[in-house]
Amino acid sequence: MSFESNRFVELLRPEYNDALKYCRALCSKRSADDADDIIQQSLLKALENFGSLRIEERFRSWLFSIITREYYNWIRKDFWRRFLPSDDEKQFPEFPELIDRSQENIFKNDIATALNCLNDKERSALLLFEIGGFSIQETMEIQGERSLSAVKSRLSRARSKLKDYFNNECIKPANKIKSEFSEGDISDETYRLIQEARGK
Amino acid sequence: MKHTDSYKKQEGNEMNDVSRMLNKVNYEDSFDSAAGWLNGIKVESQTNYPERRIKKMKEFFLASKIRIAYAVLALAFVVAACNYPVTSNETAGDVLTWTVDPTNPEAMKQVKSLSWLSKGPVKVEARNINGVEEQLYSFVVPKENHGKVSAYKSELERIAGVGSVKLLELSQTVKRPVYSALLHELFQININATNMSDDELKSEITTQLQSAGISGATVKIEVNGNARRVNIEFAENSIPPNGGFDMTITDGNNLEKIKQLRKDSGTPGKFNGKTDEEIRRMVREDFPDDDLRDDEIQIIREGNDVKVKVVKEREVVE
Repeated sequence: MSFESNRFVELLRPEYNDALKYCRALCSKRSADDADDIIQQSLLKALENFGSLRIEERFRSWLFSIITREYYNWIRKDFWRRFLPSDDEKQFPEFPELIDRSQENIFKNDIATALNCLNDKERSALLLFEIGGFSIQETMEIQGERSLSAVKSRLSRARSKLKDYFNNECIKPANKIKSEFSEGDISDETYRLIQEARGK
Repeated sequence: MKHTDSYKKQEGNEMNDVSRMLNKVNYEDSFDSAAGWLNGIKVESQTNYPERRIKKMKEFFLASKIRIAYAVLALAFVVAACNYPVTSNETAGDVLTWTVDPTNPEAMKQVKSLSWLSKGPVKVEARNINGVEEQLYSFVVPKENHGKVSAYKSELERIAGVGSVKLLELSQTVKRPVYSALLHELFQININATNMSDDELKSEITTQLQSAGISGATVKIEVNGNARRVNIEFAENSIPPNGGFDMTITDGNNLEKIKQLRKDSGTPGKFNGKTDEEIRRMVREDFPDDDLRDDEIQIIREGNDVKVKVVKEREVVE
């Protein structure tokens, strides 16, 4: 255990929960296993590059930018990953499971589905700005963008998509499916429960 | 949550819903195992990039057998592609034929005294054509003397009593790998001139050029203080079209690189009616990477015809 690792863990402690939440919400379209892989890789990379962090006060934005980059890399490599043998991931057997699977049901509700309406960059911008509490400038830096206006318009698009979703714009296909349900079957019951939960 | 810029935070229900959803999640419990795991990792030095890269590469390939298989396949493909045979025509030698009047003892004597006649196989055939006696000589010029064949022919033509001098080039179709064919296009000539006299260096350059199929080159050595400068003048059409050579001469601590470029314009009269400046600009466009100086582009005007030679000799490193 080195001084560097200790300091890293110390700085990580207050940000840990938010970092994991951000990563899991970013991976709302994906499984908890994928989110686990991304957060593990991000923490590993952050620890390896900890020496390059000069201002410790910027640890939070630095960590979130690593997670964001790792996520982008992950989705970019998704295509190639299918050509690798399934035992490829066994190279890190000692990795602990960081994402608590018992809380996964939270990510199966309508709100999580709403996040899926957004593309990866929009979802990331929205989570960083609205949930992570980062400024537009910080969000721009974390996302590796060069202009504030790009982030602002991304945020604006994301909000409008969410609004549309909650106004049933995005779930129109589900309404179409509704007509195919037979009354009383499991799909119909599920649909009814969702509508009730929404207060409709 | 604090936002310092003027950009308004969305206070709508949608974002509140997302916030509420995420507030329900708590991953604090796994922090201890994460901390234990992170503390157990040996942090690698970031300053030793080359070693780290090699290690990463090793790990990348050793992590999966399929990656090794892909790498081997890619390598095999590259090797196979480089060894793929391509057909090219190559000079195998030349045949020089001429006739001599046997009744002319002076011509017979001069032909027999030709020094180069002993350098290859000669066939002499006595013939009688329409009552005229003659001796038909067939001399096979070896490939290595290909550059001298024009000189042999001229020498024969100068002898009175020698007629029907004909030169026939023997070419053969050769199949060679792609990489070899590419190297064949541009000859690499390396000469170590250290401890060589001027004459030895001159002779070495001439021999190397001749073996590269370039004949009729005049080599001059100019001495400037302690340094020697090599000046090579080439006969017209002596360098194969679209070919050339790259010569490196090492002379003590001096290194001289001479690059001869030749490119067929493909358009006769391309330069006719153009000014020197326009011609230089056209040539520079043809050789954009060579940063040619004005004196390296030689413009020869013969009446309406314009001939352009590009000679690049540079890079004298002391």
